[in-house]
Amino acid sequence: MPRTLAPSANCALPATLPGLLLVAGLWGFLLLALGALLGVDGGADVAGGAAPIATWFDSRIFDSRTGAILWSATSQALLSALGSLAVAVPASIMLARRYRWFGMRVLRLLVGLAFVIPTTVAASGLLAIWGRQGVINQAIDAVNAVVPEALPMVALPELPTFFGLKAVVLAHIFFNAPLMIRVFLPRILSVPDTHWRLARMMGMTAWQQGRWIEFPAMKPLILPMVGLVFLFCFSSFSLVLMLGGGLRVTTLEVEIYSALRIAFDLPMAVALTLLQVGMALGVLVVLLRLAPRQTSWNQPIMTMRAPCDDILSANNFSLKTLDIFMIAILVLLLIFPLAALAWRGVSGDMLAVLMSAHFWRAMGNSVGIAVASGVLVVGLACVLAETRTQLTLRPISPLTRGIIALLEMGVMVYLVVPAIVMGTAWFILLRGVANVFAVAPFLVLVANVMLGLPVAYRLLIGKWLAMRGRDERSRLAYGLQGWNLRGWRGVRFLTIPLMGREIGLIFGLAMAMSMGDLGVIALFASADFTTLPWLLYQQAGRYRVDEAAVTALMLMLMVSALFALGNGLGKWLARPPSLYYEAHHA
Amino acid sequence: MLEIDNIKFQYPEQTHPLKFALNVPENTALVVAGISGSGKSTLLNLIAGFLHPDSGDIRWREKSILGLAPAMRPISMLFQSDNLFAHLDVWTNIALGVDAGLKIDGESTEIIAQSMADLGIGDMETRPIPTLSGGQQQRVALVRALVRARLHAAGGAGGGAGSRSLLLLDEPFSALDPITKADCLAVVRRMVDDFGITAILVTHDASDAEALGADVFSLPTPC
Repeated sequence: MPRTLAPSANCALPATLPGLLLVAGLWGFLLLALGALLGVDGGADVAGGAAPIATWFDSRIFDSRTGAILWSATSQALLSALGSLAVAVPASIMLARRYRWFGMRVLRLLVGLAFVIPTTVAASGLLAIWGRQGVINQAIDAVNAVVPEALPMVALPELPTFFGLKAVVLAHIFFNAPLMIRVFLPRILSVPDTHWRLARMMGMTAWQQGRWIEFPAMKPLILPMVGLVFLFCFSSFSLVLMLGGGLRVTTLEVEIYSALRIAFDLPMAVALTLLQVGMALGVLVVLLRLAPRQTSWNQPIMTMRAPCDDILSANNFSLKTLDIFMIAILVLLLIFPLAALAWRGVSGDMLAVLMSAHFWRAMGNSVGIAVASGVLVVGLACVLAETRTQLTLRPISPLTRGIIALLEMGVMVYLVVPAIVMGTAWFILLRGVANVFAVAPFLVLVANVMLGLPVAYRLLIGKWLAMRGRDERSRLAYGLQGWNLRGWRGVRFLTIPLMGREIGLIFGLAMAMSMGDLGVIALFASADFTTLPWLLYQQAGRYRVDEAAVTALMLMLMVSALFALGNGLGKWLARPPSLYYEAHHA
Repeated sequence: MLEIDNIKFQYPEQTHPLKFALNVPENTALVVAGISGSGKSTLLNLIAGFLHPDSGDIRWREKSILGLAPAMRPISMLFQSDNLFAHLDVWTNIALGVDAGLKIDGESTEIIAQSMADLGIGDMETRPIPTLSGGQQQRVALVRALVRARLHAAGGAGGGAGSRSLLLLDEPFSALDPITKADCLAVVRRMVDDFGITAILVTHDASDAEALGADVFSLPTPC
């Protein structure tokens, strides 16, 4: 019988079936949620009896209040995006220029840390510095205490309350400037060595070098990144909930939450949710338009390496001063809040928090959900990546192409549909069927899986396609049944060693994200069920600054531990396997 | 005359230092040949000022250039690839060699136009770099070097650098097809014969010397 290069339908079907079911599940889940939202009737308060959706949607959405929400969210997101850009561009240039300086490793690590810090922890950290009882006000008080009373004009004024627009924007910069740096820095580092040499040969000043080399390297990504950060900040929930205030600084997410949990206005929540879905899709379309035409921008950069010291011409006094200034800004922005928080936590009333059963219940819930979510994310991401690989290996047809598009979109759509929206939908769906708060842990778990899955899939798919695709092609081409590396042994000896690091990374990342998430828990928290971020939010909201600092510190430690656990597991998985022992024990 | 006076240079990861000693008369072409690791590129990077020797001296017209920054040395250098900024057009790339702030006076504009015409790319001013072939790109880089050499030849506004008539070629044609490569080598020959350039070409292909009509200096195989 002749060997065929393409797998026959029979043998490939089992490989893709679970993945296809999963894709169907993802879409079904989304459509069910959307259906639930659209199916809600307006309630008796509008025109009496069940009104068709269009009637009450119009009456509720097109008013000045919605306008105020949208204006607030838009201006805040724009400020946050531009602020992040203003930090990230000079910081990326400086980090590239000083790449070999000994402190840079630490600085880069801390920039990377912003990806796993829970929003609640960052907000507490910023409050620990800038807040009413923060480090700066304490310093001002200390200064004022030694100023003699006879000299009232010397006394320093205290900082006003931190909450509001400046707090939200600063917190958004805290998270999104590192995100931008993470994207910009590799672009600068991948500039060919030759160009740095040309710059030296032509006698470019630092400013000219920025104009001709560094800025052009970042330029294609600036608009897309501003758009992405705008989207994040526009639909931001937890930071705005903790640091915003009232209608002046709010987002649709926060308003959905308060409609659902505080005002008990279900139709209002649904109307806002639908508006949010529409806005998210709109921004997404704009974002896709902004993406550079050539595909190279989202591919990993292979040639990245630090330029040699002597071709960077960094040894100039004014440039050194400038860079030290930039480092100081980064330290002030990223490290200071965490350091202040750690100090507060250690010096705070640790015992009172650690003795409370409430704290340990929340901790237990959070860790349990985080681990479950990590396992599920890894499993689902691997199934999706394998399905995608199998589909790619098939002969290209409109059907496979369609399925691939459905798969990718089905995963990515959860990036733009905020968790609060999905949470609201389940709230409505489950309202009549079960006690919503009784199944809260499962809802939070599902939401956290949905949160981690798009990120995990993105991190996995590139290498998975390359590695598994290569293995499968050679298996098909040479008929490597003789290798006997199919099934579990194939996974053990081909997949895990090659993909182990990535699997560990997404495991750690998914656990850390879940552990720190303050999203749908806001909708489903109750006296019986809380998580650590929710507990922290409550403590901060009641101005229990010392307790909050301890909780934040413990949360931070736990998140770091889970992330490190994932990475450690990745290293262990990626160790080179050997058939030696198997052969000698057989 | 370019004098490489008993230069010693050692990379941190190497056990033995590289040693160079040679003289290059002005207005000639020299081919430096050697296997990988013999220090061919290192020699050019030392002359250009991208690397600093541990001992020895480099003199141009009897004056040491060791203390000068690359921009102040009398050199233009061509690398194997990426000699041009791909997001700028041909004219801007050449003009950057005159002044990195793009302050170009009338005299310089004329010299640029003249040099482009001389080396046969007179009609390419606004062409984007990605639309050029590999050979055309290296030719643009050669024009830039020629402009830099001519600009201060009269001893005018050049400041400390003077005429940058020393052309360092770090295998810039090795990725080209044989015909294009021969064309480029002919251009280099013309730059030496007609415009007073001193060219040092580093290559692993000894036949380049013949095509260029240049002497060969062979670097010893490293031990």
